[in-house]
Amino acid sequence: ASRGALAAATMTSLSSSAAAARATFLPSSCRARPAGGRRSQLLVTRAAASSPKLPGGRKLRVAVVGGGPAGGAAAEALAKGGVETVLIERKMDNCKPCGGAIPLCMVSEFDLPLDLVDRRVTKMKMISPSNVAVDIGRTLAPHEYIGMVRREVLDDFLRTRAQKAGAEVLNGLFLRYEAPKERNGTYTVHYNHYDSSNGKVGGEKRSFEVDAIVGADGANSRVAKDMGAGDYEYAIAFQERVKIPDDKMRYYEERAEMYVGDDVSPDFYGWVFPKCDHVAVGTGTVTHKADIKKFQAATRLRAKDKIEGGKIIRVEAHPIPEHPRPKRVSGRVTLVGDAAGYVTKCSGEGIYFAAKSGRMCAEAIVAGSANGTRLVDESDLRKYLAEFDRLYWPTYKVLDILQKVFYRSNAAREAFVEMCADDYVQRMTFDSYLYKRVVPGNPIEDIKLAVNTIGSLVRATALRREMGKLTL
Amino acid sequence: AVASPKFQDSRWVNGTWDLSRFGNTGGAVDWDAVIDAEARRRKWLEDSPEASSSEDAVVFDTSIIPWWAWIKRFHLPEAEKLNGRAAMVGFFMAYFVDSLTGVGLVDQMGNFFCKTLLFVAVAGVLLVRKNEDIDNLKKLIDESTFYDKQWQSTWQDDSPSGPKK
Repeated sequence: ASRGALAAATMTSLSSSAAAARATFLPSSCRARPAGGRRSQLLVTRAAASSPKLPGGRKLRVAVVGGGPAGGAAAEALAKGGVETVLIERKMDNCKPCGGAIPLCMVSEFDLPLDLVDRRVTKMKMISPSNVAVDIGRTLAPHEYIGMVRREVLDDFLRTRAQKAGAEVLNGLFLRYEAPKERNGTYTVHYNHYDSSNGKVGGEKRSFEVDAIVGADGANSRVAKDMGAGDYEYAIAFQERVKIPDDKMRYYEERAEMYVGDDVSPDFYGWVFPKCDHVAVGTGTVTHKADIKKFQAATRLRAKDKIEGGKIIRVEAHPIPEHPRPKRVSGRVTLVGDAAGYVTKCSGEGIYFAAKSGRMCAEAIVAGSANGTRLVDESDLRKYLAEFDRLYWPTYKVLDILQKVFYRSNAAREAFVEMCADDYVQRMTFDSYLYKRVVPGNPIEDIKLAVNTIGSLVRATALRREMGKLTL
Repeated sequence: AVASPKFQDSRWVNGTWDLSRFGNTGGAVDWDAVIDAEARRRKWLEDSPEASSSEDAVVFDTSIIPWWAWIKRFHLPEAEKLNGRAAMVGFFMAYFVDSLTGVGLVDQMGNFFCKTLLFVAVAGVLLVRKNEDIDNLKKLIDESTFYDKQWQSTWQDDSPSGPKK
């Protein structure tokens, strides 16, 4: 009820009467706990009992740094769970260079309104180095699709919903935080406050105190730097937004294209994704970042017939993490989304995992603090990490293996495209992508698939050897 | 690379190899020639990539070449060497097992340990064909565990300092 009272600069001394009035303290044993086995439930009970109750009945205060899908989802779940939440976002209408594809399950899990989805992709075209094209998506049911969203729209929606749930949303640039001096002290967050109303440029430095920090500030995370989270390997993604003639746009209405080959990227793929009224043409690489312009030109060349006459309206580049940071939690500071490094290999997907990790982190904080009445500690945050790793590690690992096997050479890529022509592969791929669950396959089909794939690989490798002997 | 000419071959028709133009004297398809032609096309495209097109789609699929054509072309020249190697390694392993334990060749066949050795010998002959293969296999193992390590590092310093403050 008293969210408005959260005056940004003077959060240190907060009135606490209202907070106390709506304190809904539950005995820790009957707190609702989403999923998780018996072991984690036991841990929850112990941690909450050991952490001290907050003085004066005030509520737990958490800063969420970054207002993307991770930050938005975290702030909403925190606010709903009775935690005083402040979200800092430096640019409210930031349109991040991003493919913008979300799986079907995200729409229902996060209650996204359908008009957020600009395009429904039902046909994926995979194109091999020798231009063999395979349409993936024949197995999709009529209601199934890959949603394409604009990040500025999705981010704003999630942020607004967090605000409605009671989180305070600040426009500002996070600068750094100071760790508490004493054991259960507060963290000081320093940020540059932007206020468009007084027309001042540059913003003013402000700070406030919180009990915990959730770093959702993306690949160049400052929170991660402050907590000494260590670095990760990253890919650079380059993308051009191209406005193409209407008749060409029709082709991309519900279709996305993926190009593979040494020419477009030595370790990733080149893409043409449909956006609301234009297409995004791009590519990415980890190993040959200096050559990214060359790869982009190659991607453009391979899609030439379909995007000819297009006008480039925007050029973007962005780092994409390859694996989680060595450290994802330190004291009462933790990372979610891209800042933590939750992007899959092979497909390069991150929006869903960002939002999901944000929410899971928030739920762990809410549970550990008994709805904001107790202080949390590192073990509470670690519970979110354990749960996230348990749920999604298999997905990440499978995609890592796929990338290693099939993106390693042109021969392997040819085999990959051949494999994707198979209906069984398509069904399995889409099931795991759209619903983020690992479905046990049919053992007979699995064996058939394995044999076929090895066959494809052997044939492609044999051809590759012949190619080595040739001079044109 | 933009101005390079498109791949052309009189036998490449409507996005696939026209098999009727690969007939040898007997009228049967000369699959060796198809393999050669496809290798040539792929090499060409690697050097000068072409725009993909939905009107002029590539429909050729390597699986239409029968399996025996591949075996004949790629496996048989190699097979002689591998068979010879497997036989020699097998013979000497059986010899040493016999001389060390006194178990004869026939008895060895019924022994689990000896069956395992046999399996290792065959797998080894297939996997390690050249000396470089050992390095490649080692690299593969490192690579396949690298990602696991990257994920596990969060938990590494955790165990000794579990409830530290």
